[in-house]
Amino acid sequence: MTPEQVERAAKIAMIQIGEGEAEILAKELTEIIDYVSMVKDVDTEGVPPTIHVLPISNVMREDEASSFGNREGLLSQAPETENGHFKVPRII
Amino acid sequence: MVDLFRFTAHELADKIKEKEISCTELTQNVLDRMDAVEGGVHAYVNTVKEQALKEAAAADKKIAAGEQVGPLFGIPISLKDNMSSTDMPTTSCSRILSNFTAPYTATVVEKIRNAGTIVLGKTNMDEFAMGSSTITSYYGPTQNPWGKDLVPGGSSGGAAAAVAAGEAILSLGSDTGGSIRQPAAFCGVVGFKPTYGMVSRYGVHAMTCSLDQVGPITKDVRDCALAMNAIAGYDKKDATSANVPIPDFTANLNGDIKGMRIGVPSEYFPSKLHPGIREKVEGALKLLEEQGAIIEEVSLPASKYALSAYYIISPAEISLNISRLDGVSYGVREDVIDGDVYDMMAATRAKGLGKEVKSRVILGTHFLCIEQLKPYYHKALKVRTLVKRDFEEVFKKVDCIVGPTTLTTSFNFNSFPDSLTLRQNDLLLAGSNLAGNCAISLPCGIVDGLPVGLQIMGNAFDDEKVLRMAYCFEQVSGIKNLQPTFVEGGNA
Amino acid sequence: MYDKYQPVIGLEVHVELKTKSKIFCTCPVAFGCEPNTNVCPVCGGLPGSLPVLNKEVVNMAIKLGLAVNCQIAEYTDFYRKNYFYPDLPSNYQITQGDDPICAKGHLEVDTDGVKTKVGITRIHMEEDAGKLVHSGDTISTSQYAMADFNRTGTPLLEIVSEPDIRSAAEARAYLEQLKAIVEYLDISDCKMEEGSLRCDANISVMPKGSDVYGTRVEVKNLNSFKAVQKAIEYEIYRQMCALEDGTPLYQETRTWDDGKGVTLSMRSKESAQDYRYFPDPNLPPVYVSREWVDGIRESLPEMPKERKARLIELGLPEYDAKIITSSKAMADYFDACYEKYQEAKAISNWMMGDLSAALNSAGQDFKNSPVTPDMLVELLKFIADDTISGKIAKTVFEEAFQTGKAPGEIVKEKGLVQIKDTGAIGEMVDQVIAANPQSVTDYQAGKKQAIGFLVGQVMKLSQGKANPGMVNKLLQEKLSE
Repeated sequence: MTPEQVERAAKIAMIQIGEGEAEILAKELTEIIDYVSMVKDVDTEGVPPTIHVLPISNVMREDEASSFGNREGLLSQAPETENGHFKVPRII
Repeated sequence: MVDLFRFTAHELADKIKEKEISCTELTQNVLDRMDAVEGGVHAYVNTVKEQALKEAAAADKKIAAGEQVGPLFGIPISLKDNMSSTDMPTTSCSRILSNFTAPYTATVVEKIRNAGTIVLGKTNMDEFAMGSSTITSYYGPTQNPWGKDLVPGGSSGGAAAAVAAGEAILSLGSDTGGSIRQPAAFCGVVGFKPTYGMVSRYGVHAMTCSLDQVGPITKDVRDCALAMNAIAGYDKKDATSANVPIPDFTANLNGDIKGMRIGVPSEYFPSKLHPGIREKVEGALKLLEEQGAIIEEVSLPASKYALSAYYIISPAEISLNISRLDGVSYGVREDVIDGDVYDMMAATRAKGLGKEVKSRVILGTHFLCIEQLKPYYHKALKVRTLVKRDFEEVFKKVDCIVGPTTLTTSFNFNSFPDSLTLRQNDLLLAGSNLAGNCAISLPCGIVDGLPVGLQIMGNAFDDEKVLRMAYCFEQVSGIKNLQPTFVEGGNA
Repeated sequence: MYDKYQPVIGLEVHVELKTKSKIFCTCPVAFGCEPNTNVCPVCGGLPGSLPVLNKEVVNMAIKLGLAVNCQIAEYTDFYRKNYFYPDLPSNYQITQGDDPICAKGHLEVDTDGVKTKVGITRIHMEEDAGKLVHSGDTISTSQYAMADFNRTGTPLLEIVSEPDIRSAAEARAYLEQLKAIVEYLDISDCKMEEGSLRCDANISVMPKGSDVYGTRVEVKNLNSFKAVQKAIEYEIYRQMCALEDGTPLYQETRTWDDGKGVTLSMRSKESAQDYRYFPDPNLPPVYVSREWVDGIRESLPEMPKERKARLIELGLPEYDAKIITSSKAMADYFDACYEKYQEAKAISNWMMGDLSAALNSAGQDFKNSPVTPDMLVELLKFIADDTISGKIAKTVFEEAFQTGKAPGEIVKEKGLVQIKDTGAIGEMVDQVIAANPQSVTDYQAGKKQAIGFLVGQVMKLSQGKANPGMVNKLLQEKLSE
């Protein structure tokens, strides 16, 4: 993983990184990537992926509405609110 | 006053039922123990002592009124700091959630409370459960009650240390790649990772949704089974929870394992395995054989790739699960002068998330980027299938797989084993998570003054079988409810 | 210029479903509530919360899929689409990946009588985002924003068309017909101005005869059918001009400025975009059985096409049938009338004429028309049996529309019943003849048109209530005496 790739991933992941941090992370993460690269050599021809480990399907609920009922609890956790909204810095 | 904190939950519950002790006495006793040793152990990040005593008093009234109570009634417990409840903060030991109190309660918390237990507080953990030594916590490390400057393991290090030190009679932890079993082994207690889907994840902060599972950390196997009776079961709020009949996990704790087959995989006994641990585990196998179990060698050939799959799948999921921590509607926001909302989010995450978390998020993001997706993430999902198939094959032949929980005993904060050893250690643990199976760690002896964990793994939904075998070993070996030496006398 | 180039258009339509609860949690789906009242840990993106799929969303998706000739997937699952935006609490949207619930359908589109077939690539289920309010007058001068998560998690169906559309008018017709189908299925309110029906257009132009598509531009912020048509017209023109002038076109997203009538490039802050589509481990897959689909197919209501055919069979001209079935509310209104009164053309005349005009000017629609089908039928029957004249009927209709009173009541109250009594009309005719000797003389002298004036006078005297045919007949008789 190159420092440029670290910077790109950090940008996508919305994490500000400091001066020189990309180089250090690139080195650390490259070590892990080198290790996990062994998966590339595994023969997985015809093997399906496992996304859900249990064979569970069609888990659905009926369309019934009920309110959470703790709006105050939600809003009280907000860094900033205004008129019941979550207030954030400007969005360009 | 006897040291009530030294007893198991089922012993204490009997004493409560027989009115030998009151819930208040018990809670007070454990809180006193906390006062005495917590300064050194640092198992907790939040406590609710007054609330606990109030609840204990209310519990005593119920007893006095002759109400029917369950087998965990009045037992003081702790919750891992990733389990949501409205009565105290739930922070996952991260700076970004350090001011966060959930406006709702996790299903597992509701269930364990409905069993009549009394919650004392929330225990320390690696930040968002990422780690295996409880050193990435925003609140600083937990000390293993077994020796100075020793790690308790992790990520449920606080939970295991609390039970070992008598600061809780039982704890709930969570296990993504060994986070219950490894600290249980290091702290000389019992830790159980149930089958994926056995216990609801609703309200438990996600690390890796497809691997996470909540389970108990206890002083003996019977307590573990009792806790499972309280927390297992289908939850309609968790679409991945298994809608299967829940057995009475204590029903087969009878010591009878005659004819049960045990598989021993050579992959779980690598050269890095501490000779003392090897000896203890081999001794344990011998003991089980003497009880009528049939031992046979088995192989899990995909094991060597399992960890790679784990190291790809886990950060990939982490990178997305951590996305929601952005300072918009909850958590600690980092204000940026004259910045826009993206500047705020990026700064909030940079400052609010610890180094280990950020590193995994960046790695996971990288794995999910379009050009890396196929060679890494998609491939890892297929390797996961191979790992699962390995276990399925073996479990056609045997009832349980037995091996060590860890390659080493607990180590010093300042002298971590090399990364290869740490990785190989994860290998013993992560397989069960990848396959969705159940696995327990229970003490099987002491090496160099430190406890050693025996790992018994079972097929998905064979939780009862695993507990049955673990109970048999515990009964025959007599190794249970160990009292850590170091924490005594204010050493910790 | 227009005959040198071929526009290529595809539409992405989002329909907000009117389920009772949200797609992945039990919060009510409701509009116009106080901010953040219909929010829970799940749609609020709190740590630890988990989504559980609302079955009705799948049912509705299958309904729409069947109605637009799609194949319904046997296997379908959910993905996370990842991007940071403050209206998205978890910073990912749960949507579908390569296995959407419906695929490979088509819609037969009638654009001013020209019939075409527009392919539907896929229909998938997803969750809506919240709403942001920006401080200040414009986004660019805004100091802060406020997020309301009430809409977060509202179920959406996204209908993606093939790039089969060739003109702005066809795009509009496609959208209108898709809307009619959704309305017929009763799965959405389909109000563009309220955002329950949203449309983005992908537009490119290529030289006629070419089979290589031009540079594709996505146009957003199309808030009405008119805007869809105008924006596409504008964009086709802009792209053709660029090709003519040799100025470069960029693959980009543009926004429609309805006031200025132009599309503008959306300059967003430069960001590395990679949605990292990822299967959601919290949502198990859904297998759709044949029985499930068959059950829904059997319960499907009549679709616009069938309904139109049925109305033509009842005797309506094709034009009337098309207008009436273009909106479900209008078609339902027609059926309700027809059930009680089997004069199809009389019903459609009134519906398309006076009633449509009145509803339009009052800003109302057929669903809650003040003149109910029962009232209209009563009125039509009065006309048919000559109880009132056509002219009086218009007065009665207006009164009924304003007050909601039944026509019978109005006719009775105001004594508007037509006078058909020969004696009474005869008396009035005599009066008029007596009062207008000049006209009588004119008529008798051969100026036959003078009778028109006299009829008018009798009608006036009767306050419009006299039967005009009888007046005419009696006058002729008396003048010939």
